[in-house]
Amino acid sequence: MSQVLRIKNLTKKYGNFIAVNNLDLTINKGEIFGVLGPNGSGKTTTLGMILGVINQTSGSFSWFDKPDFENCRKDIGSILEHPIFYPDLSAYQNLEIAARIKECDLKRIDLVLERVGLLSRKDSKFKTYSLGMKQRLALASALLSNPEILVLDEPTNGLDPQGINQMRELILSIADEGKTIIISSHLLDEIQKMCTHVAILKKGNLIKTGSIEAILSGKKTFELKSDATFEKIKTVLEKLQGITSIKLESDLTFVGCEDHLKAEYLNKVCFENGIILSHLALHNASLEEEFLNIVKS
Amino acid sequence: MKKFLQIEYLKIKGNNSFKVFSLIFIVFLPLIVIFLPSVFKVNLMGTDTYPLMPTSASGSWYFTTYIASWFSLFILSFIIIFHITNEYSAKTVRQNIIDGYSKTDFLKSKIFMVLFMAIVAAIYVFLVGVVASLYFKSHQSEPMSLEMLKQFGVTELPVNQLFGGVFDGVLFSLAYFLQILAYFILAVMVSMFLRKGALSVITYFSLFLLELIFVGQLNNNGMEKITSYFPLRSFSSLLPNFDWSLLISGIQAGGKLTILNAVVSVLYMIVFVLVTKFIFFKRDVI
Repeated sequence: MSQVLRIKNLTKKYGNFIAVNNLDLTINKGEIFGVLGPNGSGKTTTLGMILGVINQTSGSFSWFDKPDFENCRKDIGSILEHPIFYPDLSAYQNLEIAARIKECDLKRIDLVLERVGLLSRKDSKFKTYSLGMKQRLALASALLSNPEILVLDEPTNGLDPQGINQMRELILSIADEGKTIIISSHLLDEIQKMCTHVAILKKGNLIKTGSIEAILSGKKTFELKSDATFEKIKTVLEKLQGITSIKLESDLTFVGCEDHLKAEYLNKVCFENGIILSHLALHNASLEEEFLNIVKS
Repeated sequence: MKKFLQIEYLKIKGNNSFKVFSLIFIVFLPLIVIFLPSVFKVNLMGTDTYPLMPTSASGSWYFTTYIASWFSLFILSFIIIFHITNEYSAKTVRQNIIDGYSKTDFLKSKIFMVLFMAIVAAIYVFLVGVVASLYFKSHQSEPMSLEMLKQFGVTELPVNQLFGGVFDGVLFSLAYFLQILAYFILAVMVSMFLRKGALSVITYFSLFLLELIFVGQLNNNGMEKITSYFPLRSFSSLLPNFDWSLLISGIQAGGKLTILNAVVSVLYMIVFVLVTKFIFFKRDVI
């Protein structure tokens, strides 16, 4: 797999405040790469730096293994923060400006507008657009030069559920064409539904990176319910090998354990110790919990 | 260069204040240049005199470009300041760069735009100058009779010929071009430094006032030789104010463009562009 983007020791300081700290990342062709982190974790700053609008304090990055960034700009389609266009110009005129900057064929404008479903509104002024339409127009603008890579900063931010769904389907259909997509979001659900790989940021530091499966694997959680007290369950299960956490939430006990531990084994141990389970199920570990765990620690 | 101008044109298309301000310049410049001298009269000892009436070809060219220079200082510089600060308030600077402009490209697009606008404005002023000089020639009104002027110690009437002198026209239009370009580049620098419209306009004018005060102080200490090379003073002396004490015999040509003045102005423009570039590259594009 060829590398699309390599980030080395990228750092951004605002005075004493470190927005991004020594970030190392590699993104390969064909990945849908999620940059995940709470607000203020340095996602937008990182994307701003790799897009050339924010000057890094130190470190470097290279697109397509080329040392010269200026020549690759036009192969990268991007949205940074909210959609930005000239408010008094129509959608078509705005895209014409972008198309001329990217030096691509003006015929592409109608194609991308059709793709995001805005062709019928192409002569309306940008300021009359709803937020969902603005986001889709921004995506259209990013697609203008048919780039190999898309950088999307919070593409579903502020959209209603229908808008989120539309946007997600659009992004997935673009990914199907084999393009590399970098998405930042603070919505874990979003990343989990769309991405193949993820990097988790916290206060500018890279906490974890890898494929979604790799981050989620190696760990599972059982949920169980019994008439026995939580303390009793805890004392019994704590002695077992491979148990990582035990906690009580409302009337369910959550038992985190390593991958090799089987439900049958857990049930047997409990029964042998006089605990009769009325409920035992594999809890679907979501990225959200994993993320919250990582961020908390 | 064509690409940059095309893109700037597309941006301007949706900008109504740009259209309004340009229209004001296009309509009011010829109106003021042609009608003000014949309307503005002073009754001197029972005789109507027209102190603003140009009496020579160079006077006519000087008057046209001088009036136009007030337009470039106010209205046309506004256009530039708001065109650029709007890019910051709408964050489109950043979008342009994300879309594929380099920072150099963005700066180039603005410099090419002001260069183009300065050329167009100078050509328009030249055309207005041709019409105005033909009009003043046909008007042939003498500001005063020789008898009257004798009382003020003037022994001959100002030369009332040579209207339409093309060489003078080119020279004054060139001075006008240099001056408007200089004002524009100053406007670009101020707007890209401050990034806010109203603040930039206020600062732009404050700079003129501050320099005036500063120069006045230095001049009082006998430092005229230095102060005449100050940037804004150099720009405005491309088309200097007329000498009110000489107005009695109609508008005479003010100081013509000198090579020294042109060179000093161009050097300042280069410095301003480099400063703008330095600021723009040093900062994050927000």
